[in-house]
Amino acid sequence: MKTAGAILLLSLLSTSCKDFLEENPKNLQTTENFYTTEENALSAVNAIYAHLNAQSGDTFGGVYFGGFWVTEGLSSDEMINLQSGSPDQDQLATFTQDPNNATLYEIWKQHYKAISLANVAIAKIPGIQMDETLKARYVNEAKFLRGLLYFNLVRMYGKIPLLTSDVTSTTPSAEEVDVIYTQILADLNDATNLPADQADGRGRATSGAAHAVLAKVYLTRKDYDNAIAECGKVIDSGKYELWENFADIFKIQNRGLKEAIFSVGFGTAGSALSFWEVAQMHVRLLPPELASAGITSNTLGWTAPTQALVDSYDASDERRDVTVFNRFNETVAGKAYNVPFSRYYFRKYWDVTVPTEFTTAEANIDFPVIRYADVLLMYAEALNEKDKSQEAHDALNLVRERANLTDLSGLGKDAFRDAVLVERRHELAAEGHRWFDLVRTGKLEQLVPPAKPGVVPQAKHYLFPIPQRERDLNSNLPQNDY
Amino acid sequence: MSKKFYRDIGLALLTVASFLAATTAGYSSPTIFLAQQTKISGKVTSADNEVLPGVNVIIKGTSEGTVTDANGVYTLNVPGPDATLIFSFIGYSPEEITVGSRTTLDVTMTPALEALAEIVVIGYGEVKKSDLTGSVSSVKAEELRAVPTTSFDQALQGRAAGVQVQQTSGQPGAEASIRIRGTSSISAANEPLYVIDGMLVNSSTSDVTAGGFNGPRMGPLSAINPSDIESIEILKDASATAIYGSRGANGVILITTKRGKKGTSNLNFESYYGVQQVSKELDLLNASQFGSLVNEARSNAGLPLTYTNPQNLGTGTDWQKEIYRTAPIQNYQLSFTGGSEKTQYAISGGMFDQDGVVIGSDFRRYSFRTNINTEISKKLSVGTNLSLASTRGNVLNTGLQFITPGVIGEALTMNPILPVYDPTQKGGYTYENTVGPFQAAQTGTVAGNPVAEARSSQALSTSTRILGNVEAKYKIIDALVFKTSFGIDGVFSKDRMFQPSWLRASQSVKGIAGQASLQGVTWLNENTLTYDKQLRGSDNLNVVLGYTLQEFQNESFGTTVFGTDDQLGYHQLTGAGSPQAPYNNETKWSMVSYLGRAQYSLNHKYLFTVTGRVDGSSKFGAANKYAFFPSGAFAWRMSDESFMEGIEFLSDLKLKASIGTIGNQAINPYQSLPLVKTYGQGVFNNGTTVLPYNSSQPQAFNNPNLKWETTRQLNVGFDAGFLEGRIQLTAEYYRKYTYDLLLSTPISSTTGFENTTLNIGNVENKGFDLEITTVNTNSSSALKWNTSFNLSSNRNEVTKLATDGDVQLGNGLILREGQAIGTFYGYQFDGIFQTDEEASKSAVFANQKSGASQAKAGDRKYKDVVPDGVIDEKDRTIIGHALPKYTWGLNNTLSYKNFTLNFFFQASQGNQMNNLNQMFLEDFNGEHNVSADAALNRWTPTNPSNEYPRALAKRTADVGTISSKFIEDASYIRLKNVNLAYNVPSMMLDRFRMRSLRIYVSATNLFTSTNYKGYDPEGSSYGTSTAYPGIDQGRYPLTKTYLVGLNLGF
Repeated sequence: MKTAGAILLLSLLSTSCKDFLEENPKNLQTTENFYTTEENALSAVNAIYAHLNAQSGDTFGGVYFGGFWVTEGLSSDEMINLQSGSPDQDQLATFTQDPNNATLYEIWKQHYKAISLANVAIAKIPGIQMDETLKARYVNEAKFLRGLLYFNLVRMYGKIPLLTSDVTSTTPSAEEVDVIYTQILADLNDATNLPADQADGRGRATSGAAHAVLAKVYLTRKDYDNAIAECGKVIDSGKYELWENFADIFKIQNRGLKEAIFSVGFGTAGSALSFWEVAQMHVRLLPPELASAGITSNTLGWTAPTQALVDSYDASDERRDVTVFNRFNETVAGKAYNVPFSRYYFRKYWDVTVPTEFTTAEANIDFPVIRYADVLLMYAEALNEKDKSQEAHDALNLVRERANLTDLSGLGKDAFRDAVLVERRHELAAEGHRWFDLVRTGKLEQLVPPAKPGVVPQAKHYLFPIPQRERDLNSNLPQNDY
Repeated sequence: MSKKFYRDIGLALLTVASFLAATTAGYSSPTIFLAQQTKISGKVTSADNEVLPGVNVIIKGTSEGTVTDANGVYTLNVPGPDATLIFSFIGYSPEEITVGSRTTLDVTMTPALEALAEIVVIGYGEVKKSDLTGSVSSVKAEELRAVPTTSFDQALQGRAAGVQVQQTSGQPGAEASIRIRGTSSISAANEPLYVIDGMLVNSSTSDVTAGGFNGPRMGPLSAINPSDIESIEILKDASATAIYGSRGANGVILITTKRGKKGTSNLNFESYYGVQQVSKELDLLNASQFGSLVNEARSNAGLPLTYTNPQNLGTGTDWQKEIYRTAPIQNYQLSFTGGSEKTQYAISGGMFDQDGVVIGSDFRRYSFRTNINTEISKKLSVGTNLSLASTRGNVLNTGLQFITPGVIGEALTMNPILPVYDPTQKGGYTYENTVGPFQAAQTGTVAGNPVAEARSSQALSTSTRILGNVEAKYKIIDALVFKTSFGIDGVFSKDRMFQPSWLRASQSVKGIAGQASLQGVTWLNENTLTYDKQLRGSDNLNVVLGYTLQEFQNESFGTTVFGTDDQLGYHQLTGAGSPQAPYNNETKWSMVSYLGRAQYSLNHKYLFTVTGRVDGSSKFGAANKYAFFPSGAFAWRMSDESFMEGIEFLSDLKLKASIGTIGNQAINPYQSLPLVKTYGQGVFNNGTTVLPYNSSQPQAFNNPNLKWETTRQLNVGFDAGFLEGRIQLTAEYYRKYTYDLLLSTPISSTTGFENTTLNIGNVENKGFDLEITTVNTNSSSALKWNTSFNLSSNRNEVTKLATDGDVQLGNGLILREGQAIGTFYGYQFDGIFQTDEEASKSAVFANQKSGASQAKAGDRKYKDVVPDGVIDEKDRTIIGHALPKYTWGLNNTLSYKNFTLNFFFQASQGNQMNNLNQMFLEDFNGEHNVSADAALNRWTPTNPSNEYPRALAKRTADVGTISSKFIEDASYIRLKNVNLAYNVPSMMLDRFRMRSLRIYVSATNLFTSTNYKGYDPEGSSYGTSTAYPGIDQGRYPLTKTYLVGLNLGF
């Protein structure tokens, strides 16, 4: 027995402790060994896109899921908030937001999440052994998205941290606005080397998308020559045209086609994906009366148009009934409906011809980040600033004609400016543009009070407050005038 | 303190001492013999016939004497037959015997009243309590069984100083939270290490549950049957815990299960049956009161009234009554114990069944245990301890949800005007908390019907656990024993969940069902050499050297489907509308350890212990695979010194001190690896063509500089016995410093992450542990009364923070240098605005200055701490602390003839709770039910309340604001248990060949004295989570239990 015990002990002691304590998880990959193949490179780029739509992961709303475009609408003469359990959105709709506004933090966080993934892709993909053309394309897609996201952020928050590396400090300093724009221009200019067409459609960045966003950057910076040039590249590419009817833009079957320049796709791919990948438009914009009437399953009507927006449409403007409605009075699949609502709601994203869109409130629609009509209106705006009145009128009238409106002619520079802004309001309602447009044109104080009596924007509202949480955690962040 | 105080104390002690001395029974009278002898010898044994070496034998009145040898034998020359010998030995009552005519005088010594000879189990050995140098508390089986619990950890509450136990939920089988000497870590576990019969077990909940649903987590130790436990030792200081090295920082709980005794053969049957009720219901508005409130709220918001005649609505539905019930609890245990000279056994089987007081929740356990040990030869003995338990629990969904607030939160907030049932709905239940036609639709999260959710949601957790080891002991030479053991802890558990499509919580996904399973196996091999030698005189040397290997492996798999069939539920996942991607996980860690301990006892007076353990762990980074954890301790039995002899009332006094370093590796493996995982899915839409894509992304912020937490602990104290041990006192003071605290810390989201694990600082715990046991009546009295009291006082302080400023943990909790973990931070509530004018002139939140949410009379006001005319984050201050200043337990046992009455109080003092339930219950927006007391005293122009705001049918600007308003004092004193037992006299039992019969009635949580407004001042909604103590939000409430029981022995 004694020997047996000793042998047992010795044999155990001689076990190689080094191997025994080695950590080698087979179910996990690390940043060290992951970014090595072409598939991994694609996966890294896709991760950025995956934070634009909606996720069933840690947080279910990506950049274009809801908070962002609703905020741009609420903080203007476009939208009001009806979601009663949502003080954050009440604040945004009445210009009473403070640094603790949760929606503003959510927007900040989602943008930086996607930016951090773009930084990883831009840092890691060049080291992967793979087809060089594809490699350049992936890196440029990441740059397009990084440029777009910083463009959103710099306009909303002003001086913010500019992070471009996959290794970051937890307490970065804020950068001057000009420096941030320099980076945005560099990224977007690189992205103009992207192919004009992508096999995956216009949910993937293209050269056209890069030119279109560049045009908006230049317009925002009042660099009208370059804005005109970039719009021109989009127009001259021949890749884009307006749909014949305004309603066609938002048809399921037309997603990513013709007028779409860059869109964020939502949908479950026929239940191949998880639940939250659908868009929030129906839940958020369609009225509860539709649910009460048993037509849709879960429409809550959280966000609605201001009456001023509804009233501002010309009677003959075809866009009005596509964009807003206060009664559902249509025949769908042979059945006539007539449901009155207590007020006006947004209608434009609802394609009632597709049964799942009609009944389930699960929107498989694209969110239009930038579309051709926007480019035409930017073109008109920039041309007018450079006193090219006729070309400006021509571009504007293309959009008006589609809406069944008469052409405008002979407007002076100021009148034309106002006309473009009106046109943008009617064309792009509920597409996340209005606050940006009012800020770019300096009309926040002038145009909001008539639409929202008692709501008085001030100079400080040309930027949003930096989220308090971020300033609590990073003392290097300055606050805007809040 | 004045001199008079000390004089009074001295007088009091003297009075008690003389009283007790006068009443104590005398020793047996000596017999007088005639003949004279000069030499006498004999053998000294204990009552159970063990020889006692090292017993002092002294001739009374002289300094002459000797000690017994290794066989307990002594030889001594005495002057004559009148000589009296005094036999004394630690832990035994001294014996005085006059020699008389005998030449041989064998003595049987009886243990002293408080058994200092009591054997205390310590890591890798055992020691006489008198020789103990470290800090160890013992809890006996009787104390554990006094309170009916699913799991023994709950029964430890209030039983030992320095051990704070919190019941986290009333859910049957739910985990308890245990803190030994304070909170020394935030993200690494703070739960102690559990060692069951030498087996180091998995006590982390995530290691033993599959995690398939959202609700209170089943306790990791609920598979251990409390009835099988003989004793529990709690190792507290570094001297006691350093032998467990990197796992000792939170203390160690050693569990010894029952085993058989030589020469006996017993059959025991134990059973109890009882009923439980919710310990408290909150007073909410009834239907007509609520209708009036809704109308007033709407009127104040300029909206049309909802109810024309609210007074006609009656009382409506009491949603709390609808979900609570009187629920049975029962326990049955049959055990056989006994043994021959060579083989002892203990075999038992048990069944425990408990329904929860909330409908839809229960817990059941079947368990079996076999402990056998046998002596194969003089040198070799083998044994096994093996248990198997099968548990099954239906868990209530009380967790805060994305869509609904969970069953308890719903019962508190659901509109009382609504009925429970609505035949027009698919499930037959009222669907959700609708107040007006559109209000509910426009609210963020809406309460679903709690009755429907409790009844038709299913969350069933089953688990089978095998825990056991085999061991062999080989006596190489008399003093040297080699022991080897191999143990297994295997857990096989499965969670299932289902919510039908017509529930509010699951409507949006058209019904949800899922299954998750886990299997985890730990094996442990331990090999020790123990050298235990009586040296010259009564000196003793005990050395343990050991080498151990342990490996843990855990695999889990689960899947969830949406669009389930409402009939089939989780029983049939195939065919569901939208199956979701399955998820799985594999975890593995391993450890290699070398351990050693030397204990040297110099004449039982000077006691030295040196302990060390080297742990190699796979969890540690490559550069830090191994770590060394040393400790040292010294104790001095002062009462054995000659200069102490004159102090009659002091029967025992031992001073002790220890210091050492211990670790905490209870953190998930792979923490230091920068992981990449699949994450995003999405689609690119191209007309009707839909192209799905998948992606991968880094899992966490990469921090390669992570270090492991270490704890240094100093312990000083004394054990004292007075009046022949009738008063026993242990008092200890400790300081515990924990360095390099790991914390999942909020970080700037510009990193792409909201949290990361950082070494954020150091924390210190210091405090006193005090344990007193007294025998209040003398041994001849028919009435016997024993008391034990323990008091723990802990001060926690974050001594260093590496972050820029405070760490905001959420729910109002922060970490700040100089403050304790669990510090609440927020605004100071300052009453209610009485006039619009006052509101417009006072400091308010920025968005209350004007516009829709402008502050008006009836709104809450807050202190403008930094007086700048606006309430903003600068006005936040420290408004409370979640950790108690002290906790105590007081146990009294009174016996008279065959009756025994036991009552046990347990208390926590000086702690606050953030009552988030109440925050909701004082929000009078008319969309959900509210506290009756608050609502009926709400501010109106005619009732100028300074505490409760006005009713207002919109969200006021301060909704969700963490303020002193809802930080409530959660101190409490609880009559935890009362137990009255009757032992049937043996003469009545003999007829039925029974050995013993004990019948008892017992009540648990009968009475709680507290100012706290919520259900229960104890615990937290975040379970055992250290970062979120003292949060009350929709928890499963505490229960009261009444039961009758019997213990029957043959």
